[in-house]
Amino acid sequence: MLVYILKRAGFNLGVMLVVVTLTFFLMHLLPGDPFMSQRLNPEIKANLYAKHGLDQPVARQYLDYLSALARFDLGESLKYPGRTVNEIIAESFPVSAAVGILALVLALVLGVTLGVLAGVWQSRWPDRLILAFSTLGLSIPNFALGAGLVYLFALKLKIFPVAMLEKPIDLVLPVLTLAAWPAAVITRLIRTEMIEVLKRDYIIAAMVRGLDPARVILRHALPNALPAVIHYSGPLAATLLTGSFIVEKIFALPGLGQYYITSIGNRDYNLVAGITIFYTFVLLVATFLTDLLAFSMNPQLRYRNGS
Amino acid sequence: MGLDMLYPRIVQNRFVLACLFLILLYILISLGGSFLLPHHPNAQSLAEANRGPSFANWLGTDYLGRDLLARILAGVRVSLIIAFFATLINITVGFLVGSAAGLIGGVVDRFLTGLIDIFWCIPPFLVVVMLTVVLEPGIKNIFIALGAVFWVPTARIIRGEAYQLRNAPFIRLARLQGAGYSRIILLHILPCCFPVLLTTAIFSIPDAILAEAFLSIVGLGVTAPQASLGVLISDGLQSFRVYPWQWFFPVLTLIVLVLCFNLLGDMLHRSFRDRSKGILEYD
Repeated sequence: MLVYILKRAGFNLGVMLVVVTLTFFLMHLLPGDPFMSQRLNPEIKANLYAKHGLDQPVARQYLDYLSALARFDLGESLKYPGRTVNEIIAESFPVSAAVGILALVLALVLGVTLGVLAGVWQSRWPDRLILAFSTLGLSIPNFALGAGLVYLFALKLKIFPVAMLEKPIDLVLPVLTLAAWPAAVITRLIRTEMIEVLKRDYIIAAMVRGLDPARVILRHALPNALPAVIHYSGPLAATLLTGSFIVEKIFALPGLGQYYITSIGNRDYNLVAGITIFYTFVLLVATFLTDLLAFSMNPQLRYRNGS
Repeated sequence: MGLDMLYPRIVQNRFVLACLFLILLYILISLGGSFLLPHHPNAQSLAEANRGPSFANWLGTDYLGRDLLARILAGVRVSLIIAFFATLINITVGFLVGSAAGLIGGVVDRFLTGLIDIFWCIPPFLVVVMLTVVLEPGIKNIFIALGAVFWVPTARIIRGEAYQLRNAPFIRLARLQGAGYSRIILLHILPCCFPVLLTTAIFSIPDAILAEAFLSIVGLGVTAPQASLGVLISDGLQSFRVYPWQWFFPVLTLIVLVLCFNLLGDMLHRSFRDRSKGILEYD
């Protein structure tokens, strides 16, 4: 177990290094420079360059960046003077994270429930209905769903505000938008797994002995269907992140995605690089944790990779 | 299963047949449709800005008075071009990397697999966004950026296929007769991987269309007067509260297009490997 964790951690560190290097050099390949739009006289510009270390050779800048990164310091924003990237992330990430985590929980609850129902009533009307819904959820991209929900519930029915973030209820539409696609995917995964698991001998044996069917489904069958979802959680987390850009844009939420988009337009090297590195870090940690979860849930994996 | 077996399956399945026809229709209309319309997709007339659907402008006009139908037709063309070339890069690079890794083995395999593993862990959209920013948005650079991340899963699948084929009798025979790796890859592995490549390609097209829309909404779409479905949707998102049709029609066009490709890909997926784990399966 320990060997496995160390191996994975080492690999993730390697990936992080690759991402940092790629972002750093791509950002320095960018046409234009961050102070282009301000029309500064050359001396001020030179001072600004010196302050941010941009006058140093690239190799030196790279090493400086790495050493700062080792201290979890992502540097200072080039466009918002005096604000560090860490501050900006600390301020706006909680909003993104709240929406993301709520969406994830909703997707899991909805997906697992619907998936189990569909799997149990395979090919009958509840199954057909759920399948139709999940096909819809898979086919409608979040930018369509988000705007559609705003139009219907905020503009026509006036149940929710159009774009505001004051009360928790304002999060309902963004969370729904973000959760639809993952919920549809999880429903399908669980359904397929349940259909396969329910055919196994041990389930039939349990049923024949007269155990409560609900108990058999929840305690005997479901645990064997869940790993499929856990293994899917990596791409799922990435989808949630991508979705968060769109959702934050449509619902005007002050989250990290908004900063990311503006910083790209502003050529704010430090902010773009910092947010990219932060996102990669979050996704790697999420995948790592779910892998560990899968590892501890599934004895087979434990024996195969056993130390 | 060969291609000849596929033909009756497509014809029998009305649903898939309809999808195929719709896709063809999209391609034909996007190629020729703009010649039939009286409006040029980029022709502005501010006096007629933000008009609703009418007899003169079937789908209404946008904020610069440009005919929405003409813009959608032009946009479908741009989106399909981006999707086509992104897919081409995807399967070419994916196939070459994957088959080289699986067939040659040894150090080459370990290096390429390591590369694939690392890329696998890097969130693809971050790479796409970075690349588009560095290359500057435009049709060519968008499909290059998309191709640069799409090949990774393809290479992984193809490596598995090539690895299994590596010791097949006909490949060993070819090697005994002195065939080089490039010859074996192109003449022996490529035909065997054809079903997988075709399925991957069909699924990669809707992915690219959606990714292009994502980039446009983020602000990295094709350059200004040009329209793509993503740009239209992104414009529509700005104004859908007042002029919903400007958002609705491009989105509808995109959803139908994406759905058609997904259903087609799903049919291919299920007929090539006899499993029912498609993305959009019905029993």
